Amino acid sequence: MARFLAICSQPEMNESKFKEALGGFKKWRPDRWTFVTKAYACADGKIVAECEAREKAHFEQWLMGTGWKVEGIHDVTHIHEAGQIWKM
Amino acid sequence: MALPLAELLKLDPDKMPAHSERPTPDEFRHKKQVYYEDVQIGQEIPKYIQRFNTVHLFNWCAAIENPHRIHYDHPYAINYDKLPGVLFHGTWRMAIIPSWLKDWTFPGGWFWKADWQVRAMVVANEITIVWGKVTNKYAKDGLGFVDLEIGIKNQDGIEGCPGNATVVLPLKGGKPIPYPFVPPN
Repeated sequence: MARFLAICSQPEMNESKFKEALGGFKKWRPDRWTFVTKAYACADGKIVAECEAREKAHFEQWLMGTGWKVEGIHDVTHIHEAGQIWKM
Repeated sequence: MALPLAELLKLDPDKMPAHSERPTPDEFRHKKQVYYEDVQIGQEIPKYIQRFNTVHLFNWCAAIENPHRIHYDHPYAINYDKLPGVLFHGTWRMAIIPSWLKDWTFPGGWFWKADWQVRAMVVANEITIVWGKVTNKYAKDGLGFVDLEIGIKNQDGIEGCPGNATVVLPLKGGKPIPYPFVPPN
């Protein structure tokens, strides 16, 4: 499993659209090995989505289904969270 | 009308818990006995369908004094142990099956024995479907024995607890199941 971070944009993002993209079980966990673990919608229309997946292609496929404009998908090597640092 | 397991697995996971056949507390208070004669080979027994979240898993940790972070600390589980999420406990799966079979045979039946394996990771917010199917039945010494194939599947149909069980049901007009139950020779 690997961790990926996608920077996307959706200029008219709102709560309804965000829920539409992520609200159902199959939306955030499209298959047994692909988990969209976290997503942030920003006021300027940017979206940052984190995904745990076996291959980047699985995340790319999920992103295509959202309709968001994908600006880049990055392999995560380290994570900091509230004082904890994790190496991927 | 209970939805057969095969049909249930075709549903959107979010719609599955609505088909749980777990009796309400009031239904338990007035539960009718399932008799040996009511059961047919091939029949599915009531399925318990639930989505356990991190709070449920944390509560089980507290109940059994298991502080392992993989069961409630999501960042730790996915970042340190590289798991797909916080894990549903094997011990809880072991506890669910006897409770579920006790419920089905309640009030006059007896959950006699079972064996099962704990496999396949289940993580918080997945669907758990506790299911069973009658594979054999026989009467002996005035008691009804029912063999079951049992398991706990997730929303994708992946089996996480394959096993077998035997319960004892009273015969209609027959003697009560002795308590404590002593299996016949």
